[in-house]
Amino acid sequence: MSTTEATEPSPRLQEFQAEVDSMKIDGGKANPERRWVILGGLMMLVGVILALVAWLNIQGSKVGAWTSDFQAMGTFGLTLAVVGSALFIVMSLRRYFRFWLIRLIFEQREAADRIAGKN
Amino acid sequence: MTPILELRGIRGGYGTIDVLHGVNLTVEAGQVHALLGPNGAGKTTTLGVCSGQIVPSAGQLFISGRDVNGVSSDSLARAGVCLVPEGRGIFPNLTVTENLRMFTHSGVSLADVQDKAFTQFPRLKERRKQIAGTMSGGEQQMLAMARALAVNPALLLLDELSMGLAPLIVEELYERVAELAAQGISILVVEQFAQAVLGVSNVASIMLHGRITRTGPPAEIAEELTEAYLGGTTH
Repeated sequence: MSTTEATEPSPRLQEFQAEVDSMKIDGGKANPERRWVILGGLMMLVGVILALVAWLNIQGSKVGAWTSDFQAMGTFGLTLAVVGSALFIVMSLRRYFRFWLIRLIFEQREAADRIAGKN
Repeated sequence: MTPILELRGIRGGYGTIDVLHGVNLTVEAGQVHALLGPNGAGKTTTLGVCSGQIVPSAGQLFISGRDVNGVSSDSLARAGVCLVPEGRGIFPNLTVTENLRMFTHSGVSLADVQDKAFTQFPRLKERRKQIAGTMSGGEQQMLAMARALAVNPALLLLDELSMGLAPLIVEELYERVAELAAQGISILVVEQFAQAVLGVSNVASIMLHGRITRTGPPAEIAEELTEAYLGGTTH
């Protein structure tokens, strides 16, 4: 078969080029939840470490001016861990359900094909 | 001229599983490019990336010289990138005419769609009142291609056109593909069985394990294909 050796793009190709140039592209990434799952995991880890450090420092010591700093640190750590856990769970579930939905659509199409006697 | 489609170091797949491991592929305007490879090589996933249905995790997708990573598949479809998926992608429970009516979403009138479809595939005219799912595999594939023609594509992505069809029907379909290419439509066609497609293509590539291992003239690729399928070449 002979190659189409056009030096000038055809009108359709020029139109296509113009349409592609006018497209709005958001630069979306694959697996959009991944970043949030990692962030949630890190928040959980940092939160637990902060709470643990605060607890170890307060443990067995008398109440003093500095204990309130550790109390604040512990509370902040626990909050961070709770928010991180929530983010981690929500984003993990979102990813899971996205793939579950894709699978469901695929299986429905397969079933429709079987009913129509394609396979 | 700027390639109509270019993939540079594309990685991607489904969720955390990468199927493509750095795909480099170029389709020049007006070319028929055959992408060949055994089952599981990543051919359909490559088409998914080209049509915007799968967002690559790394690499760049260029359409007409523009980096379009992250563009929605409907924007690409509206612009003129048309995918005919494996398994035909028609509505099996609608008649041929009803299916053709569904293809008017892009603003083309039903009369125009029917005119294009029945000119290219006269057999569809005889079957216009028949439920699409009850037609033969070849006729269903013709209907799927008629949909592609209805939107006046600039880049046509064909996935396993020959799947489950008799060799004579496949030959007939590829004659249509050659006619479309002659009209200036650029075509990337994915096939597992190379015989029919190599006759109408300008360039062919072999894909193995998510990578393009060889690109060249169809005659040369045909010689290397058996060896590639049997696991001989990975250069």
